[in-house]
Amino acid sequence: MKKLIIIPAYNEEGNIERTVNNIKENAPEFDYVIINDCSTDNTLKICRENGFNYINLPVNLGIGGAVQTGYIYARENGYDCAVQVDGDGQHDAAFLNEMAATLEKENADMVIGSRFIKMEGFQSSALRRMGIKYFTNLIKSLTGATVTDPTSGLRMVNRRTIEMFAANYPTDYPEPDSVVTLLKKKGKVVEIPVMMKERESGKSSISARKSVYYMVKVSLAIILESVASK
Amino acid sequence: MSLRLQIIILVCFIIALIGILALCKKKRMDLRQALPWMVAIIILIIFDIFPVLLTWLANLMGIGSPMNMMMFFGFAFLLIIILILTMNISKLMKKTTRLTQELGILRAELEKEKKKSEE
Repeated sequence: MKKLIIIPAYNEEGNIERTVNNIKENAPEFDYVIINDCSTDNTLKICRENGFNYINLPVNLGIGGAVQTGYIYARENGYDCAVQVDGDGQHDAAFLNEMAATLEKENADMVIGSRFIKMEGFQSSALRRMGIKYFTNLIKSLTGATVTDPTSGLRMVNRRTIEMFAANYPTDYPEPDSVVTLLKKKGKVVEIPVMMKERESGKSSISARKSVYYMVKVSLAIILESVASK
Repeated sequence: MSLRLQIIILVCFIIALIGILALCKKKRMDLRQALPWMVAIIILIIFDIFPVLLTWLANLMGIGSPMNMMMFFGFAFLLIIILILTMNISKLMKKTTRLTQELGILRAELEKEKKKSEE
């Protein structure tokens, strides 16, 4: 099975080396590709000097467009499975093998690494947990499925889903949205417990001001997604 | 509507029409996208030259003042154009995203090939 790790990176000069080394050490059977989303810092230089496998986007596309580039790359190069690992060092590559095993064993379309099954590791702030809980409930009421961590960036998908995401992927805050799309297409989504770390350097993309936009936009996207494919 | 106002409005519309045509001539505006504007201006010119039409239409629709009706139509027209523009922007964003992704992947492949042939 050909397995690919997609690492979207925007201004991650402080984390990118560690993230890639972590992958090489803990998940050596995975190929990886860094999508440098037109970073303004030294991310590109670091990738070049270390001989990392990277794709450099000439203009900034935002997280959705960057991750989708990875899925297109996976499709073109015949990968059977692709996983998104954030370039900020929050995701531990040690969980990837377990996720791949689950994907194969359960014949799932997507395996999500959830922080909230075992409640271990970095749990995010109380306010964010509330927001995540809200999305869990919204998704449950619209699709009937329980997804404990719909905002998790650590997601592994199979070939079918790679092709689906390569063709269509939301532009910003794509995680909860694309889970619902998959559920509505009768895809099988499985969650396994993981531990996440607090980011090592840099800032989260979701500030207080943006969180209102996040809630409204993602809610609307989820609702539209569940209506459109009926 | 006084004759003076009628003439002022007419002059303004004609200048706008010439302006749009000039933009098309200089290729700074696509003729396809300029057409709705030109049609709207020509309709407004017709109403300006024959204010009777305006009064008749306002009465028909139960709007007290013909000028209010003009305002309403103008507003509705602007909203439609802005909506179409927003749709076009979304479409363009999708296209640029696709192009950027393809370009990024192609360049990465090209660099790999170059390295291979250098070795």
